[in-house]
Amino acid sequence: MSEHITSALVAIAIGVLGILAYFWISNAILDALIGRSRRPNKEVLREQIRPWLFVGPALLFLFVYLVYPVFETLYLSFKDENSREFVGFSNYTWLFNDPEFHITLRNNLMWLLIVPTLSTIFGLVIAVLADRSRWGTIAKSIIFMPMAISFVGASVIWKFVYHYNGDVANQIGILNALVVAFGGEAQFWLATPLWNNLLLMVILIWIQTGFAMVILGAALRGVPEETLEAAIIDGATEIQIFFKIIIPQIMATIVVVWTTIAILVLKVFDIVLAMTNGQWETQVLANLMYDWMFRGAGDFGRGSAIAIVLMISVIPIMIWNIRRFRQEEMGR
Amino acid sequence: MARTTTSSRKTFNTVLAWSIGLLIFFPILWTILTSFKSEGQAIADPPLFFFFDWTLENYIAVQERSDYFKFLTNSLIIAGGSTLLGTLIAIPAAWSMAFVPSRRTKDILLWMLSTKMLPAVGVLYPIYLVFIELGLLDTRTGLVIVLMLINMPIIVWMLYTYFREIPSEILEAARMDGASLRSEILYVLTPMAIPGIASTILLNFILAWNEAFWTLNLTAAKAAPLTAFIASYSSPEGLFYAKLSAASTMAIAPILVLGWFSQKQLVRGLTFGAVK
Repeated sequence: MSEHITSALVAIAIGVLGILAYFWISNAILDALIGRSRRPNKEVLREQIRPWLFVGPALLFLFVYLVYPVFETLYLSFKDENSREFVGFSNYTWLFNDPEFHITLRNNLMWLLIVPTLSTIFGLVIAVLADRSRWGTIAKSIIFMPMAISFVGASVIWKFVYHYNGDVANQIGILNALVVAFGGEAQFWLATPLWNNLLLMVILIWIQTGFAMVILGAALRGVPEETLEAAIIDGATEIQIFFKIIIPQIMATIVVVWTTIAILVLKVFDIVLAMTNGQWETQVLANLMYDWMFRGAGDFGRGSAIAIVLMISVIPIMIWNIRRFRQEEMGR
Repeated sequence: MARTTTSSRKTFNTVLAWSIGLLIFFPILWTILTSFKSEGQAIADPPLFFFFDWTLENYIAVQERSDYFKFLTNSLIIAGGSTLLGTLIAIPAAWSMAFVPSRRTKDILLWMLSTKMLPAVGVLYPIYLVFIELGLLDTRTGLVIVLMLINMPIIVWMLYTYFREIPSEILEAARMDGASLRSEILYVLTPMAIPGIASTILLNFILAWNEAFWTLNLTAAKAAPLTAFIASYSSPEGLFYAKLSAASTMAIAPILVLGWFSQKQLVRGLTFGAVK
């Protein structure tokens, strides 16, 4: 055990030294090759190359991690289960005729519509409330807490909440205990289609509400006081002020929050894996792919096809987000 | 906005805000409380809140059953190592983009942003194959590399937004005084950049610590970090309730403490600096 730890630490140390050596040596070589001369054109050339030495490693690593694998996955999605022979589009035609895939798409769409929207609304409401209450900062820190927990950790905690003991009166799961207390009948909620999807979404909403709250809270504090005072003088009600004065002014931030959560939601995997593993009609794309590739099926063609579908479905939101970033950068 | 709120209204808001806060915190609190109960008391009806016989027996049992400290060490090495290496590679990149921007800088940054938005499932299998080829499967070194890669865009972006807040006049002044590039970085830039670098490291450590997709897929018994530890406990059937709670508490406790102090960093990083 301790031997393994030492070897891991040594590997990290080698990595650190390697990186430092790269920056040192590459700069020294640049200086040696183009010289330390102060002749303008050489100096210009040297200073044009230098930034690439600095950015280079980061770009190279990203290229290796991202660009190559994406094309590899695309390539594999046109091959058979063992990646031996080309099968054209047959993985895709199979996929679009597969009933489980239809359910999966429906679920992903539900996640996409419900989770970012509810997280944003709850975050906004709580931000407004906490701003106007005593010890609001501490309350906000508590509400933010789930955000720090990993999705897997959160899932285990919520498994307690949804736990079902079987057909007995003493239910230790909080949800079932509440249901019984109000005269209802305890159920195995996670195995009850459609409801179970919502229960899984609650976990992500629980995590993301704090995130939305912090961002929207900062935006709310940026709303100029004069605009509110002017509205009050004009006799606007509080509801009118909220919807007609405050909301339009923080709309840009609301969009940031919504898209950030939306991108996260499309990738959702850990929660479904830990809670139901896609059983009982709770499957999502990422977990479906995982099933086809690694669990039992071992069909890398179909798994890759699912991965490609997932990537394509993220692209519209991604482009939208990047366009927004570009505009913001131009505005500076 | 505060001025428009009357006192009784404020009390109402306070009660409501705190009720929501406690409601949201309750699952965590309940898990922590249950972890200190005996198995019998954990399933007592009506449920016991604070007045039960506090015990550490569950923690001891969990450690004996699945060696918590092995997973903890793995998490520390993987999160720490990937953060360290990633930051070292990212600092020069972010520095040059913030202070010596070229026409391509914006495009590079946006491209990095887009890589972080792509779902990891799309690249999993090819990387898995590469890992088999290189013998990196289920090794800490392999995970350090992968987590460094997936968080690189966030690190570069975070550092870039922090570095850009440093007034470039100061660097020019140092250059005028004849400072070399190296001493410019070491003595001028670094001291001013340390708060930003520290925030970036904190954020990245938390992200790497919580990463489950890659750690679950690329590890088995040897290099598995805490995320895998919790996942192995994710089926309550056949396990005991209080022990399961102890396992979850042990898994989330370190990050809860860290998370409390890093709200700002988390938010800034996850929005790529759009929200400061």
